[in-house]
Amino acid sequence: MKKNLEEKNGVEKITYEEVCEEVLLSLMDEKMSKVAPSLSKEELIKEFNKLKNMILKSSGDFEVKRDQLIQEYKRQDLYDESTDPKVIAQRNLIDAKSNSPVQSSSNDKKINFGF
Amino acid sequence: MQTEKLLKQLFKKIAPIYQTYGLNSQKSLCERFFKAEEKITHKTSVALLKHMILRHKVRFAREDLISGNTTRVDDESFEMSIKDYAKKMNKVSLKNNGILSKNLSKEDRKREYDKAKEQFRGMRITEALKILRCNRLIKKVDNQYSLNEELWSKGVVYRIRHSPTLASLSNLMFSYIKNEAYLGPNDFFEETDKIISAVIKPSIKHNQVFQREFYIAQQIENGGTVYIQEGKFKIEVFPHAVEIGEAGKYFRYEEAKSTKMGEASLNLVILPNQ
Repeated sequence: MKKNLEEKNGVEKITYEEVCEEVLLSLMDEKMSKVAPSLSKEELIKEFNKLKNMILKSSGDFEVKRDQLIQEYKRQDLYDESTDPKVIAQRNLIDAKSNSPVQSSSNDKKINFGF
Repeated sequence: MQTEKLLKQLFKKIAPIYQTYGLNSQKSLCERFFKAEEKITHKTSVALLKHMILRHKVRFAREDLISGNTTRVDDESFEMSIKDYAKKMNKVSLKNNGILSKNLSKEDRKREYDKAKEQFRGMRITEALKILRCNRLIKKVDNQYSLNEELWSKGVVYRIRHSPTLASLSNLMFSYIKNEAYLGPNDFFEETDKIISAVIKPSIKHNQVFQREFYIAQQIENGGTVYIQEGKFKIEVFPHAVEIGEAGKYFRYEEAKSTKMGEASLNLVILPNQ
């Protein structure tokens, strides 16, 4: 694992984007390492773009590795959950619910409809 | 959809790593050996050296290199991003300078940033001038800088006077000299002397094949073929390169009919008028 407690000084935690970047770099390195040393610069750029499109089309591999790494960082209490889109989405949903007007009960509705 | 958007952003961010290093692990490896700051200093020194070689008759004042109309050095290594500047100068002083202040108008902020960029260029050039002087590549006389040309030609038989060729050697020259404090430009040119003489000598030694060598070189450049005599047969081949082996010069070829690769002595080439 690239980052550890010491590097992060125990204060700053690893964000969702940093995790994604780390996964992407390792995924690209894994694929590029087979070809990169023997390629010219132009060929290297072509290969990079080819792999980029491959990963963008089928991001399953990326997502699995990302979730694994998130779990690993969570276990070490290094993950900044406030930057996780799932957590943000959940929080927004809760906020939206708590800010919406109080709904009336079905009995109230009946009474209101009556007048 | 969200993942795809983020991935696209990240690809944009990591593309320069792969363009420069091929692999991220290679980047990490390189950074363990060479600090980023050292690399920048190297780049700026080479850029300045190239600039001075291409205008080798000119003597430069430092200010001219920084802001002169015709002598100003322009190279991407003198550029900086606001992030680099923030790192170097620390964010507090930057805020005090007003560059990051949100109260400034867009135009004012750009002007402040441009001013900071110019300051940064000045700092880099001053630094590079010191490094080049330390390596005896340039000298300072009456507050003016010029190439240390007498050291460039000291002990040299085959002197390179062609400025574009010298400029293309500047990175090699700088890398060679900076590695050892006692090495100077003359040491570098003594090395190039050895290379040039290795290239020239075989053609003097094998003067009888000089015409053939010239003919092969021409055909390589034009993508043409030559005929070689192999026993009773004449074989048409595409010459690829003339190389120097232990026994002298030979050339590598590809047979026109079978695309088989091979090597042959220059003596075997049949000249068109033969």
